[in-house]
Amino acid sequence: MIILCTKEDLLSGVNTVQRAVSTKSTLPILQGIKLSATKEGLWFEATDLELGIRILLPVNIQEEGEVVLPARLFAEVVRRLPDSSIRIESSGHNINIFYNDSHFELNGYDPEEYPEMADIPSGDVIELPGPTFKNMIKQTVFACAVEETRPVFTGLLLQIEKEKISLVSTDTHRLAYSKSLLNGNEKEFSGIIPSKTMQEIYRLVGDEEFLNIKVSKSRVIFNFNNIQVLTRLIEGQFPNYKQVIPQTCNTKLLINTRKLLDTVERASLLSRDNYLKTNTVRFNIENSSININQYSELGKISEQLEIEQEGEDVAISFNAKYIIDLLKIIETDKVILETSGPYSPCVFRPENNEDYLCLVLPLRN
Amino acid sequence: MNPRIKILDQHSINQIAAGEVVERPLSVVKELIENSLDASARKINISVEGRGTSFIKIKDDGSGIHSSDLPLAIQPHATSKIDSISDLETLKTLGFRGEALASIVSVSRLTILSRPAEELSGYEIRTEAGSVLEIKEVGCPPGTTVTVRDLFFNTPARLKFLRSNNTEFGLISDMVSRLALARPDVAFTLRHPDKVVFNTPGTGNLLETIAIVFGHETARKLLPVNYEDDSLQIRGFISPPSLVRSSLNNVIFIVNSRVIRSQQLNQALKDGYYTLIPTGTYPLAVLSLTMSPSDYDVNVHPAKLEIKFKDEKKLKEKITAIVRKSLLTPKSIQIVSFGKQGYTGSSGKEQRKGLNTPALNDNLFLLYGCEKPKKEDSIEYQPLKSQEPINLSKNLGTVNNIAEANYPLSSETFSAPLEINNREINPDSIQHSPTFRFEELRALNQIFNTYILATDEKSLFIIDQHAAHERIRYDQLSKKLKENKPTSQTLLIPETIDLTPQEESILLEYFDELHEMGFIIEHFGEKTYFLRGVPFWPDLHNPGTIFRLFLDEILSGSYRPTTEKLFERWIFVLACRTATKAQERLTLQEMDVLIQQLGATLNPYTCPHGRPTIIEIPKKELEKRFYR
Repeated sequence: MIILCTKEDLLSGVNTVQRAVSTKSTLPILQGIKLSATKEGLWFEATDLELGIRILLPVNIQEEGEVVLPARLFAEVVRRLPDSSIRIESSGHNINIFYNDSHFELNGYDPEEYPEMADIPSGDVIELPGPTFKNMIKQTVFACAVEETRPVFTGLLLQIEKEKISLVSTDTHRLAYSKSLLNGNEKEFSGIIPSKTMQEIYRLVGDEEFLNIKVSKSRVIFNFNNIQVLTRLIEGQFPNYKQVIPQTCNTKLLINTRKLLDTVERASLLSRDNYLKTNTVRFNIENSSININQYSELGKISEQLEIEQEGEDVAISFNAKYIIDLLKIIETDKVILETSGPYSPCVFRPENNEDYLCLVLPLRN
Repeated sequence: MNPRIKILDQHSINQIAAGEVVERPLSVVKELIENSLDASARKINISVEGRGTSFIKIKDDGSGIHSSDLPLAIQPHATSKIDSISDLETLKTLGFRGEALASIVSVSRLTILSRPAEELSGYEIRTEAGSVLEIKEVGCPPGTTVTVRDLFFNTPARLKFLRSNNTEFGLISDMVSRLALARPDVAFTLRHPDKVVFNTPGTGNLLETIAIVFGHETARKLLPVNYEDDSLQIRGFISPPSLVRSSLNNVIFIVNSRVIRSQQLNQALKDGYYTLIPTGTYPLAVLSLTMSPSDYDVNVHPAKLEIKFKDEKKLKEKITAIVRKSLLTPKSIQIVSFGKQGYTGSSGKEQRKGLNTPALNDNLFLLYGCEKPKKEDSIEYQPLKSQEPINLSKNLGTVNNIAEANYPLSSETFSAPLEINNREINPDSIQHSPTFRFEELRALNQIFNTYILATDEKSLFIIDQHAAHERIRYDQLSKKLKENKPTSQTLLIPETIDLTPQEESILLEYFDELHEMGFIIEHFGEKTYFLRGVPFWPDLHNPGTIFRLFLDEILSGSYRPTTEKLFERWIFVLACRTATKAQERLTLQEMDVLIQQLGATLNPYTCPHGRPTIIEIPKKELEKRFYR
């Protein structure tokens, strides 16, 4: 393999695939990045067998070939290269990086041992609008579970039904749901995508108009620009989320999003340094205002926020973190809060937007 | 003069023997079921009322007892199972001593109704406290029905020691489920008193029986074990490393259809899981061993719960290897790597700024992992060759004894005593030493940015700053936990929990207390429950495990674990994470405050993981060393 390129080329390749490099040492070769020089250009590839990322860079290929290099070391070397033209030559499993009048030799792995990306989906191609999809990820990914006890909750349910696309995530304490139109789509798909993959998609998708996905039974591949992201789907049954979203409510509020966020953030300061870090916030809703009266060993806060209220008065407690998380996502000036009492799921929605909602389960004391 | 030594009458002999064999209602159920199994029953119905003292009925479809044998059957040392002790070498039956029935008869009102299939009618024998009241011919289906009423009516002392209905019945249902697992080819039905507690199909399929006992969800996850060589066959199921419990209650060993207890086999199983599961957790396992009866001795335990293997070491090694091999099947590997994968995927490092994803600060894996003393520690704590290990709990790790060991100027002298590693120091047993008071300690300096040197002008003290601060934080957190009013986080999608009959009875007994801790539990059907709300502790992932821990603690210890105990590991991690680290520069003022805070804790001498916080070198000791 002989290639001519710049530091920028190598950096963009390494940065794109780096998060798919395995952090475990069980299969050492997975801690490597695979470079394949082909007629099309230079492929960078990394996988931990769950998530695989590939990017094709148009560099000058003098001679085709493959190497697998230790990811961390290679990335560090690339970052420290000068901004001169760079020539990479392989000999056996190793490479020589030539820059200025110097060269850096790196020992690699045997590329024969690098696992092929198996089961590359070859099914239907579905086109998704890039910026919209990115926004949907942002609106939902925060509500995924981090613990592995019930794997389905560590992913996002992607459902495509003809002209409708939706993303749902829940950690069983809260649920985020976002939907959008998919003009002209005829195809259908439903699968649970790991949240790590979604975070990568969010990071890597630029302002491309569209990204397309291809699906198989156990995997999905995302194609955009010159990047491919191949991910395993999480096996299992995602719960019927439609069933748990309340259709009616006894109390409906219209609240200034920014003011509520500030209030809750101030209130949660009081619990930040307490020992148990039980970050609760209690809304006392009466007479068209939310009253928050909290105290801890650190101090006391008393706030009153004017709101528009329809229906019953209610007092309801939440994990303040959940409220802060979702209010940060909501972009409209006002947020709608719907509840049917202190123990029922509470729905938060942006004003005049039926496409997004976040459900938070209250605390019971 | 009356002779002082005399031979007891038969009734007393029987009652004494009964004390060994029939310890509690559970033993009656066990012995009678074993008799039914020995009579080749295919179906066994067990009915129990209350805790089993008022009424136990075991009905089987076995070979029955001939009318002429009936009076003999209730005599001690009367058995059809062996002719002489040498038959034990080839024993195929569960019983052989001919003691059980006689023992039960002597402490209850017992009725046997039996008809061998080849006879036209059956006979009934009624007994009370060992004497036969009546024998008569009756009509009945083939098989034997034994009814035990008023158990222990003539031994009130025994009655007093029995526990509550729920506990005693829990033990019975646990025993019956173990026997059912040992004999998946026999259909067991347990009723209490009219409600069917469980019902195994008796199809011979072990996994089906496991599903009944442990729940379908659990059974689905288990890994099969299959092994055979010329002297040993092992069949059964074990849990993948991702499925663990906090006690050994769900580990069942069966040898030739006999359920046994064996510390050695438990250890062998645990060795198979070594490093695959967190310390302090245990797998689920049902392992059925088939071997020649001549390879072990059953005649070592009154209830035959323990047996002695001829070549225990080899057997242990085999089991460890087999378990290890089964765990490394693709199915289990996938689950293991899957878990870890997701974990790294969402760890703090991977977190992207604008996305606001929750960082996994700790989960149970970390929870267990963090407090675990490092393997290398054992090297540091090697005792001196010629030195008696020092009992830390009494001597506070002073080096007095080391000097007495006549080992004057060795560089290794200050290595910590062996006990530290054993972690058997019971914090409650440690008293504040009278030799010094924390208030009198004055910090001198810090060395290696890790240890604080202090003195009270009588001794030199070395304090591990991290361990000390951990102890302080632990105490503060425990106190807060006790004061904190519990709050429940309600769940959008409830967690389903399958319980064994015994676990269910514990749940019902402690329902209110669990509710107070913040668990909202709802009955779903059968032995399945919904967890609709869990205690609200931030960063406490997987609260379902805490619920399990609660059940397991009661199962193994039969007392209610304190909230503090349940959340112990969680407190450990929080304490560890928020404590001053080693390699942190402290000022003299900070050191003094740390020492005073340490002195105010309940047990200032060890950190929550059992490592010492402070070591004392008395002035006298220094003088000795300098030959002053």
